Amino acid sequence: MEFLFESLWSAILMILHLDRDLFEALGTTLRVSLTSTGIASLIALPLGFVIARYDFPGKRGVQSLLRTALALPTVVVGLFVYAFIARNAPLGDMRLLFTPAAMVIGQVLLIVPLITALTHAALQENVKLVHEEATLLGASPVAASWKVLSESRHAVVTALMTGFGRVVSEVGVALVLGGNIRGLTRTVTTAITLETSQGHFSSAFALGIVLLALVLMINILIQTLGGRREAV
Amino acid sequence: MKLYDLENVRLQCSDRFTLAIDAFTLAPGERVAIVGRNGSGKTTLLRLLAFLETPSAWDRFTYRDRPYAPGRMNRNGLGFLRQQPYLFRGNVAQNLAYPLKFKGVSRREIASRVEAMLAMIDLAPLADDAARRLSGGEQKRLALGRVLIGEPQLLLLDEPIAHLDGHSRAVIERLLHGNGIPLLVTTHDLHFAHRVADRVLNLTAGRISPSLPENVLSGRRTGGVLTTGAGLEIHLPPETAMQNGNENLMVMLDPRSLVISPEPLTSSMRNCFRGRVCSIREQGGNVWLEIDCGERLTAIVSRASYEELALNLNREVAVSFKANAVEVL
Repeated sequence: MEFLFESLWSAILMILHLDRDLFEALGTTLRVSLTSTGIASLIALPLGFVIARYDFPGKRGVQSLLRTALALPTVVVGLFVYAFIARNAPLGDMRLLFTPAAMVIGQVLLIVPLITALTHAALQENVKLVHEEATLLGASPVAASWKVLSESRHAVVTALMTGFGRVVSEVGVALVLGGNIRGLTRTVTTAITLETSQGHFSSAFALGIVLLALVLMINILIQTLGGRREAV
Repeated sequence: MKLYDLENVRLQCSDRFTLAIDAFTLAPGERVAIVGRNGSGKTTLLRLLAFLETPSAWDRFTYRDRPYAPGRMNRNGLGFLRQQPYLFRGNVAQNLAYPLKFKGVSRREIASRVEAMLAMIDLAPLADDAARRLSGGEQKRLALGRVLIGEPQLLLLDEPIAHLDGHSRAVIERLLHGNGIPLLVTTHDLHFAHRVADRVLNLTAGRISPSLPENVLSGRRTGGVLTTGAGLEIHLPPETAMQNGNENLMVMLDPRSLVISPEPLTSSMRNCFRGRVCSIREQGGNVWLEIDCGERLTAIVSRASYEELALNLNREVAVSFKANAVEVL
């Protein structure tokens, strides 16, 4: 128990002292995670919509692949991208390895299947009905698709938050593709790994508490904004 | 110009039957009602005409003289009301505004048109209420208002008054009478069909026929018995029989529920009449018999039964059916 209280106190002190390493890691975590979630949502939301809305040959196979991809180990995704962007790899000249961009690429690959699968699950019950109704009322194909997403907005936001939660807490991609470079690619989770490997367990735990607090604040913010929109 | 012109259009509805439209036209200004039992293909027919279903074969299928092309038909001006409408999230006024928003109408015009429509569908006091919390009748009125606010040039309405209270029925009928828009409406209610439409067609097992449904009888109910104009006394289902009072009633008998036998049967069937076979025809692999029992009743039997019973014209037979087989219209 003492260890837990010590960790909590360390977390509070880090925040009060505006610990530079902590805020750099938090900044990188937020920047990379929000960017990858944003890019992934641009791919996964339309993909989830199309899979839910239309019947096509091989649809069941695609659904199975998506479900399988949910179990992708983050390190495997990191290694997969590494194989393309390492110095001697096909995309080596782009010098992406150990940059935030590389981390974003890895994280996008990690959560596109997740957000797609959750979007598909959220939409599949009503998608045909809502799309058809909007179309019959004169909506263009784009407007009708948007209506489908907005009718299931809570489930869609949950899908996005789940994707964000996955990347903000992952360590495999960040470590393999980012390299845990202080001030550049060190995220809260890679910092936790470092502190743990050095035996600084309470510092590692304190970082975990800060990360959870941050995600909680983002969740509350989204819920509040969503609630206000709903009330309008 | 014809709004619709169909010839030999086929669409597989289910394993049970295929929607088979031999010939159907809808002229501008015409109002047509389609009556038929549950599962006869009424909804599928409307969905076909709204281009939501793709026919498997057709010799001619035109809409406003334009040949049908799968996935490329323009639905502009076509108003479609589902039997169970889907209402969007939001309040009543917001739901009414959607068709206008989709068309890019200005906010000011949307506000005034929504206000006018709220009054027409008698939902003005509920304008700010959540659409999905309305009663079934209110939801149907809202859905019809949402169709009408887009100023359609043709209405396809699927069972608009099914399971509605008297007030909602009256509002919907008033709306339909007042607009003069060409109409194709499906319903179980023959009286409603005749009130809103110029032409009433029958749809049985996916086939349109110009006549009314088979075995529609009217008469006076006294307790659990309906006495038809020709004096046939028909025992009614218990739920109708339990209602107090006398009233004029219209009932329908499914030709498949009629049992034909050479002599009256001793059975649990409450209705049994003697009559003579006055017409025999073969259709869809079955034999359709018309039996004169005072009223003319149509029965459908299989080819094998027909042969086993050695039926022929003028043969005297007994017609039996359960009280529960009588459908009150």
